[in-house]
Amino acid sequence: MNQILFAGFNALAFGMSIFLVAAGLTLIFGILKLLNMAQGAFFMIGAYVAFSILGTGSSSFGFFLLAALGAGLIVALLGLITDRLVLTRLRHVDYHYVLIATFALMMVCNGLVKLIWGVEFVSVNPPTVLDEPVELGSLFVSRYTLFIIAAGLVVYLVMEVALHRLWFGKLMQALAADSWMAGLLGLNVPLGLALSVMVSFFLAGLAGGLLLPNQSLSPQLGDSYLLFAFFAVIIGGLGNIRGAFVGSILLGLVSSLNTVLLPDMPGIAIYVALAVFLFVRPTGLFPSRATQAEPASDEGGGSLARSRIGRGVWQVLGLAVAAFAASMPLWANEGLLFLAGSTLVQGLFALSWNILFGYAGLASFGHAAFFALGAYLAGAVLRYWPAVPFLATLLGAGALGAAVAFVVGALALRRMSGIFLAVLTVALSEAMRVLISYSPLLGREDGLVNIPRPVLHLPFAIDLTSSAAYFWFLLVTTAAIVAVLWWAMHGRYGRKLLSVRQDPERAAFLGVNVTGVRIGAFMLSGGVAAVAGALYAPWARIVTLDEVHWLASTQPVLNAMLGGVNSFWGPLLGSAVFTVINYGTRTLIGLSELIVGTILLFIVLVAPGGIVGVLRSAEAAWIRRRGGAAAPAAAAAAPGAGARP
Amino acid sequence: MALTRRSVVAAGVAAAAFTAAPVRRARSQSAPLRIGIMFPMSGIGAEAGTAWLRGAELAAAQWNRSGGLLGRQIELVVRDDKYSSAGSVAAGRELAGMGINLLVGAAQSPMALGLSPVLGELKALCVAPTPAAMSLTHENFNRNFFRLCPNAYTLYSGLAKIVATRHPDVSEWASISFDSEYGRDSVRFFEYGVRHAAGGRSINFQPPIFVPPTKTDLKVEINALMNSPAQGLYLGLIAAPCISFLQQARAVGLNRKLKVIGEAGTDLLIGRAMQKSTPTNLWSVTYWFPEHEPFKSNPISEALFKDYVAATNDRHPIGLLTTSHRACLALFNAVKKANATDTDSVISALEGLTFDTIGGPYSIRKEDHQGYGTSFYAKVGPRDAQPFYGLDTLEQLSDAEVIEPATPGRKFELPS
Amino acid sequence: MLEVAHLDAFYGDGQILHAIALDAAEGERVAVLGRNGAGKSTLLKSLMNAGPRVAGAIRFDGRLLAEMPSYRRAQLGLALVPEDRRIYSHLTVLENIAIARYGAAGRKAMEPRQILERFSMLKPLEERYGGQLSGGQQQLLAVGRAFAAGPRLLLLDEPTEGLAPVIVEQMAREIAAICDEEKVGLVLCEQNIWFARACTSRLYLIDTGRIVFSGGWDEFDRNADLKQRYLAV
Repeated sequence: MNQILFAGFNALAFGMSIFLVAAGLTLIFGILKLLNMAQGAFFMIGAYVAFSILGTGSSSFGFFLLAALGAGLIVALLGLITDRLVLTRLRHVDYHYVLIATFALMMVCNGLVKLIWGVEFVSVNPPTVLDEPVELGSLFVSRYTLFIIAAGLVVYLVMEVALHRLWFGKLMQALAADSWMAGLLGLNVPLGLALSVMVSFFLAGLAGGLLLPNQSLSPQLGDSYLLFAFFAVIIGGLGNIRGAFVGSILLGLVSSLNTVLLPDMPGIAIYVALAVFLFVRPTGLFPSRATQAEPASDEGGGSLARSRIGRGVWQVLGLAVAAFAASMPLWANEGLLFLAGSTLVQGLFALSWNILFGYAGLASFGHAAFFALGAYLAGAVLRYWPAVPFLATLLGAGALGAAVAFVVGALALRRMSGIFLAVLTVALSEAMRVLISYSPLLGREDGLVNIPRPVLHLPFAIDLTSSAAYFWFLLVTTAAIVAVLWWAMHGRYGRKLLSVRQDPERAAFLGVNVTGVRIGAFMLSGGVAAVAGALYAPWARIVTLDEVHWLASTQPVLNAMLGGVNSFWGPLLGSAVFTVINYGTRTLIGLSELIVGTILLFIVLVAPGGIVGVLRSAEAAWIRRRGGAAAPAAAAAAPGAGARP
Repeated sequence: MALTRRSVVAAGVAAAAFTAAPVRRARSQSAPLRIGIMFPMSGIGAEAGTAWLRGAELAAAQWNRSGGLLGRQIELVVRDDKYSSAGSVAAGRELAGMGINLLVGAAQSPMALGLSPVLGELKALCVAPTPAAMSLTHENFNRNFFRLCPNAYTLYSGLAKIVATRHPDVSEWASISFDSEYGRDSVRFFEYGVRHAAGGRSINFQPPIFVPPTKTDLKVEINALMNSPAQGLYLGLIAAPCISFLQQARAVGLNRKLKVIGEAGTDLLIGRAMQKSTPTNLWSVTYWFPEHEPFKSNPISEALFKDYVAATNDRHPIGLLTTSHRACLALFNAVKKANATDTDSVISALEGLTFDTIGGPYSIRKEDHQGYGTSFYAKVGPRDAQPFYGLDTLEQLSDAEVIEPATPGRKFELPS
Repeated sequence: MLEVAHLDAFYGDGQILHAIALDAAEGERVAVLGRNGAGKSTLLKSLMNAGPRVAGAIRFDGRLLAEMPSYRRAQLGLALVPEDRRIYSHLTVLENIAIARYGAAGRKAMEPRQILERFSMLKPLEERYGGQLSGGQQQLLAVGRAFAAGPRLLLLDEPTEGLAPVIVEQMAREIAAICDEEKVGLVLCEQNIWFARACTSRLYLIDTGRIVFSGGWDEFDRNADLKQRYLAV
């Protein structure tokens, strides 16, 4: 009973700590329609800055507050710089690209934090006057916890008053509701937006400083708070301060009760709660006008970026590359062969992701869930029931992926798309990770090890145990699947997908079942991703929770964007190039997050069409210079070859 | 149909880079003896990885100064295993592909579990400094894999023995650990160790508290502990959550209520982070205090410390480096004994080997490739002067006292 | 005051306006008539840099506006009332007008209350929230709001669309009155010829992005086929 009471109290305490981070997140969404995935990272930078000011010794209350304010100001400044360099360029771009950009920004920030402050753990105590335990009956808390509750309440009240009572707040709301009209009325819109960015970053930095003594400080701090802040904001309703406040407390309650009521399944409740919310009421408890109109983008979606260089050239090139790949087992080092095979798998995975994004216009940030489904299925079957023919397992994986995609799609796609779908995919993927970690059959956190390679029993037996044999099998299977997908995407089905992406309303008028088409794309995407996972399991011979980690979900995003999302071959190209980059930089220890984040950011800002986009532009320029036989029709086919910032 | 547009660039670069790599040159007697090193050099395990690498480098440098191994200079070829099983396998494959069959790495259980099964295929062997998962020398036993550290059972029941025998007055205990197979096992082993050490005395354990590995807010759990009769605690959390726990516990006075806390895995990082707020009743599994006995009069420890200070100008080494140092010593001694470098000969030489380390003699069991020697436990406390923490008491325990019978190929069962 | 020379306007790759030439003197009121899709809205938005990509010269008080953002143009004294009104539902009628005062940039402007006095239909709605108004009321509010910044040139985009005739009449009177008193110029885009005639002294005709006629109302009346060719549906 005492525990339940404490859970209630902690809901408030934990909730307020989440709210301090969520406040800035929901503010920046409300005004700029921007879901800032880097908010947690900037919160963490605020904590580190405050630590640099305070040191580890005990401090006075005044100094502590000053340090928190200082952290807020410095992070606000960083926010201004980020706005100038990154965010202003993304104001009128498809919001999916903005999501990816802020995600890349998060990786850059994480990498910088490790570089500047190192990876050591830090423990800072609350200021002396707050560093006292307090007994409330049988509840053991500290004065610092009470301070956090008070701080959260104060921040909420200040924001409520400022936004709804003060004239300044009404201006901000006007800016949020209709910034175009605000400009026509003479309001300095760019200044207003920049101020909003600075305020929301200030809040992040301030939260970092205030929460520094709440737990240990390490470069993982940003990620843990980000997830909670996100969920709180979604539950409360994007862009709504009151919602963020209530959502944070609700989430704190769910998390605290999870510990008390479900001690054997810690950590699952919040994902379930979020998933339920998204299905039942995706706009949140207090839906604001900000979310009702999905942010309009000038990006109408690209058609296939068709090359103007003759087919023959590409076919010869393709054959050469395929022959080169097939020859690898004969001369390549074991490690390199392993990388090559993994690249094939990643290429397939990225291709599956792009069916959803490049063709259907839906972004999934939890795609690793499908990959893991296939991988774990194949791994388990090969380990425990080796009599099952491997090809049947592959088909089964595909069917399983498609089935799960169907269930999720049928429930979700009818009610939501865009940002909500992206967040839902993350939540479901995380929930799946937690569920797998409970299963001893699937090896819990150690995963499935010692997965044997299969023997194919066609009329004759093919033993795939050796790396060379399995590599060739991978090559053949990947080529076959790519061929099938190519045929599907370049035919009526692909065109139908593109028309739904570019203009769903018009497609509906023309009699296309928009939701049905989207669900179909989801199923295809999920199925192919699962097959990729199933192919991977015997190649690596080990499947672990790393396969479901959110970082694994970012890999196909990166590969597809690097290669070019407006092209069929882009994801495959991107996977190959990324492997090369990774291999080339593998001795540059400690910088991988920074490098990956910077590359992704660079692509979104400078070359959103990826490598293919760059090649297309180069091609077009080359052809123009050679006497421009470029038909206007062909030129008109490529206007969407990349979002225009 | 337009075909594969794999980049010409990628193909070209790939061809250039990859074909350049695997040239197997004929070995002459003076060619360096290459040892493969696989540790986490990036991401979450980077700090530990740096320490492990340091230990290996110091071991190699020491042997090279006294003439090398089999008359050849030792060369370490280092690869980043990214603290993941996939990374470990990739690193192992690459090193094996380069012709390197002697590997030191797979320093933690995920990496070891990934690498161990493929060692046979790679015709390589691996000596691992610190993975504790039981299965590595039981149901997942592999002839090519050697565990040069206490396994989870030895580790946690040993820790339990130390804290229980030091506090015979404590009969109420509690545990908090990660919600994972390993975490749950560690709780069972610790409990077993306490009961075993108590003999006939009545011991009561609260139902264990399990926590997801990424949790930062442990106040509900701490409140439960405050309201329980527990006076002894097994703290199974490591790294950032461990420190968060101790920090938040201190805020409500849990550290004062408890008479003793035992933890394994974070060691001096606690002192470094918490400094003057370091708890005074916390026992940790530890590795090395070079300026205290018994290390001070151990010649290998002396030499290692001297080399360490010379190389880094720092007098507070991370004790973890002694584990990789020990693993390298095992490998070098085995190669010397076998007078050969091929996998099978070295495996035979490692089995049953006994050699000297900073903590005294260390042996490797033939049946299951489990190492055993002396384990150390430290109680660290706050200090007024830099670095604001220091050693209060050091205990040691012979692993042979808490080692389980060798059952390679069979799952480990706790004796009742 | 306003001089437009050789104005081309584009949305993406499509060209909407071709070589538009137009001018309005201080305090002068001109109309731009044309069918749906002729380019009237695009013209007004081009003047404010509020959407289309523009090539050509727009001069206000002799000053070339070039790349100047819309809010700066509003501060110079240009006020656009777009055809979809865009009232702020979270603000009251009075607040909607008051929020526009930032565009005054130091110029003398009518007080929001004064504006309410001039638009008799708005006066009783002072405390009503923007979201609670009818379409016609919102339209009036949008027009009234435009005066809050003391504009020198008002740009109205089809203000009578969807309004009842009696309101249209009243609006014509009120706009003409304020413009005369406050010496505000007007560029009015309309399809309603009566309203245009009542508010302005001369007109332009625009068809598929080109100016096809410029002159006074008498001249327009004399050429009967103009109306047939360019305005009939």
